[in-house]
Amino acid sequence: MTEFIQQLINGLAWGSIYALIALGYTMVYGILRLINFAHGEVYMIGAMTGYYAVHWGMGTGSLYHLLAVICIAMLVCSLLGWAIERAAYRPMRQAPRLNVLITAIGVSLFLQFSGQYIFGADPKPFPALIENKNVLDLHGVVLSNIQVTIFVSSIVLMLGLRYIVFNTQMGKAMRAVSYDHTASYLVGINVNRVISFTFILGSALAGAAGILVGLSNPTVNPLMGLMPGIKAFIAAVLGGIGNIPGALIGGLIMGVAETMVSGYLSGTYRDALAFIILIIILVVRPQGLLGKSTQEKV
Amino acid sequence: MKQIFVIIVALLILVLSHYLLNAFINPYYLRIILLIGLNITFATSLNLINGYTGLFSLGHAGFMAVGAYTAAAFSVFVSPYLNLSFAFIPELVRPEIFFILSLFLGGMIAALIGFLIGLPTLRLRGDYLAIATLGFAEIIKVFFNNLEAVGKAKGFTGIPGVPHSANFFWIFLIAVICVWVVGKMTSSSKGKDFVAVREDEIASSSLGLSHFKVKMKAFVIGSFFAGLGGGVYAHLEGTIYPENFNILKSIEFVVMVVLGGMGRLWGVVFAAAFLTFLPEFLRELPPPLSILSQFRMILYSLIIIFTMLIRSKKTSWFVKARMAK
Amino acid sequence: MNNPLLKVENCGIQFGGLKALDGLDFSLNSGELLGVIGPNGAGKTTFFNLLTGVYLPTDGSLFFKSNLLNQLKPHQINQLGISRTFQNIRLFLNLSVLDNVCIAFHQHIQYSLWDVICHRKKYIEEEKQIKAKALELLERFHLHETKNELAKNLSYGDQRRLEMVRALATRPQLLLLDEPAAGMNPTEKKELIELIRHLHQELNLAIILIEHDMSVMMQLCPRIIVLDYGVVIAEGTPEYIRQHPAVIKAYLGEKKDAKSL
Repeated sequence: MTEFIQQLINGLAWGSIYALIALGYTMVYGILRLINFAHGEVYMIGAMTGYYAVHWGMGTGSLYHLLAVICIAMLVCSLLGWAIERAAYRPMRQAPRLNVLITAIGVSLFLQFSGQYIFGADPKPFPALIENKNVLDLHGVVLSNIQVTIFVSSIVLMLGLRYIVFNTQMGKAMRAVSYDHTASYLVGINVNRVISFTFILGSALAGAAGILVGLSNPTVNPLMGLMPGIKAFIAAVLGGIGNIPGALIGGLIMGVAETMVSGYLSGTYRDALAFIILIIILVVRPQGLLGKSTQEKV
Repeated sequence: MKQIFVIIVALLILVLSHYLLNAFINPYYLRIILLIGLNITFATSLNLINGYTGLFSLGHAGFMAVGAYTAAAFSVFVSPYLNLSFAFIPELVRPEIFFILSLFLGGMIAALIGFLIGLPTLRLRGDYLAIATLGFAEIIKVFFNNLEAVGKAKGFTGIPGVPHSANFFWIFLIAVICVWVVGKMTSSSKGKDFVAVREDEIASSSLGLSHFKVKMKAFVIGSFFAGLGGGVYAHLEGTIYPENFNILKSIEFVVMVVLGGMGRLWGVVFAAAFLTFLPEFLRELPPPLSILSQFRMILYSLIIIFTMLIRSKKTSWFVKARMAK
Repeated sequence: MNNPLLKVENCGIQFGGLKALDGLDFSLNSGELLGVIGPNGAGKTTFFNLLTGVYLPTDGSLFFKSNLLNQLKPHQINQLGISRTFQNIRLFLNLSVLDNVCIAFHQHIQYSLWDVICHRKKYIEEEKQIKAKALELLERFHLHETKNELAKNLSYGDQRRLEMVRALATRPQLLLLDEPAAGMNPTEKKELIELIRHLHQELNLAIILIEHDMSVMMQLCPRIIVLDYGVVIAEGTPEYIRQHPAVIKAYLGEKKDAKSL
């Protein structure tokens, strides 16, 4: 039982990171109907930014340092997200969806391999931004301060996102654009600006996720974004793509399921699990747990 | 009568070039040529799925893996026993027969897996299909990574083949058959249904085409050739690892199809040849330029992005021209 | 033995709370020409979508040649002998005009893909026949000169005609035409009317026609059904429809409204 609760806590921590990445996928998909394959790489750049920020003079040790590093990573990633959309996706607004998807794969590969060239292919030890301490030890169930940090930051970020999407003018515009581009144009919404903003928002969350993953994982490397990116996308599909609470739930389920499988079965099956979940959800309930089904108009 | 004549001439040309190449070309270049032949098979079979039928499979390397491991397992575990029981077949052709048998088995199993994977995934919309096929390829990789009998991650070793079986003749025979089958099918009225489904699913079903069946046909035929090619690849390499068949391998094939022009037969054949040759060419350049070979994958990604951007420029120009009308 | 070709029994469809079609009930004999009119949003295209299996009916049943259509997929319905055109044209835009038609022949093609791969005589000869038949059809619609053009390069009227050719090539017994005259000029319309009349008589083809242009309807259809808000409000000859108060109300609004303005 102790072990199970411990696994659950670890899984939820890991799942919150998936959820943060999945939010970016789900928002972009909601607005452009595009699987932004490059999103996983944005998260990688977030982690790399943290690594270099500390190496180039940012101190470590206190909570302020951690906050500063998270802010820098979010800033860099927002810029990157904006640039990707501006350079690669905007010229293709009229193109068939498949072509945009292929471009997205191209951008993802470009970031991976340029990353390998610029940062070097070897894994880098991520600096300890805060010291690892156990804040709670109940009959062997351990909760570390890193996990607390992950939970708190994820919750704060998600509440922030919720506020933006449901309580601001921009959020309203985002929801409008996700229904219909043309109609949004007609009521005076600058659709391109809304799309840029969505990329900025999603990428900022991915940047934060990059730092949080650096806290719990010992190393970072240029290919680290590939698998978590795909898995976070699957989490978004699981929850119902285009649906913000869905991404959260999907991310948590995915994190817990993976930790359980590697804890009780074997780590080698971990990577296959996400895809098995994907296949099951696509066959049983393609619109996801919280999504609505749609039909093509003739 | 005429057809048999053409086939004989084609076979003669293959045999002749086989001996000429083996006699005059050094092994390093010969290997590149063999890889070109293999990649033509992979790219053309993927072209049927992604190009003509407009599905987006990101898991071609998975079918290649199924073919490779099946054929290799046949050659390593089964052929030695068959060798004893079929001793009456002359020594000269016996290994060739077993080789072809193993390839065929690999292709069939790959086609079967393709069919099983197609059942749930081909009902999905395009972009979901991409992720689902990628997922299946990953599951196949994890499966072989955990299978004791084929050496797990350490690799499946001791596959016989070079120089006897996996040689120029067989590799290019398969490539020619693959290009012939795909080209012939898609130019006949019956085989145009692949393109029809790509162009408009609703319209094609209103004409009596079951788009599920058409997609399945493309998927199974494509997987069959991927498995066939995978089998040759295993015999050519002698040792195969699950990591040979990862996402990057699938993406290499996708790049070939994209660069060659999706749904263009010869474009993809040339793109496959060009992209196989390119890294070797870059490596041979004089020192300041040879560094380019390190950028191979970056180059690939840029090729994808720019091919797509240029193509969408054309379409958007077309849309504008139509609106002006 | 005197079964009608198409029998619609109390058929309807609901999208959420909205009844897009309700209580549709009529039958059509083989070789009959029926017009369907109604204001925008009356459910005309939805009716075609029900008939062709794009949507599944939520009430009632549809029979074609005594086959229940309710649960069939679009391609199965086409194989029974119902073919259609679309309100917003759905051609295979990146294929040539000739190929667009040849694809539609596929159900009647005898050779297999294996014959194609082996380049058998059977395939070569039949392929020639198909091309000839497709050309013949195109010629009747004056499209044969553009046979090698890509479908996307045709003019709007030509695209509409090509869609009709394609639908005919599947050799249907019932043809559903969704606004075939839309976007055509008066001369083209006149030609189209002649053409539809010819097809109807020559092939003994049953046709259901949706059209906004009343003159086309009045000239072609001996029987017309009027839909409004998903319900049949009138059915009969063109003269009868023209006089029918409910129809006038649906199109022009009520008389007293007009007075009070």
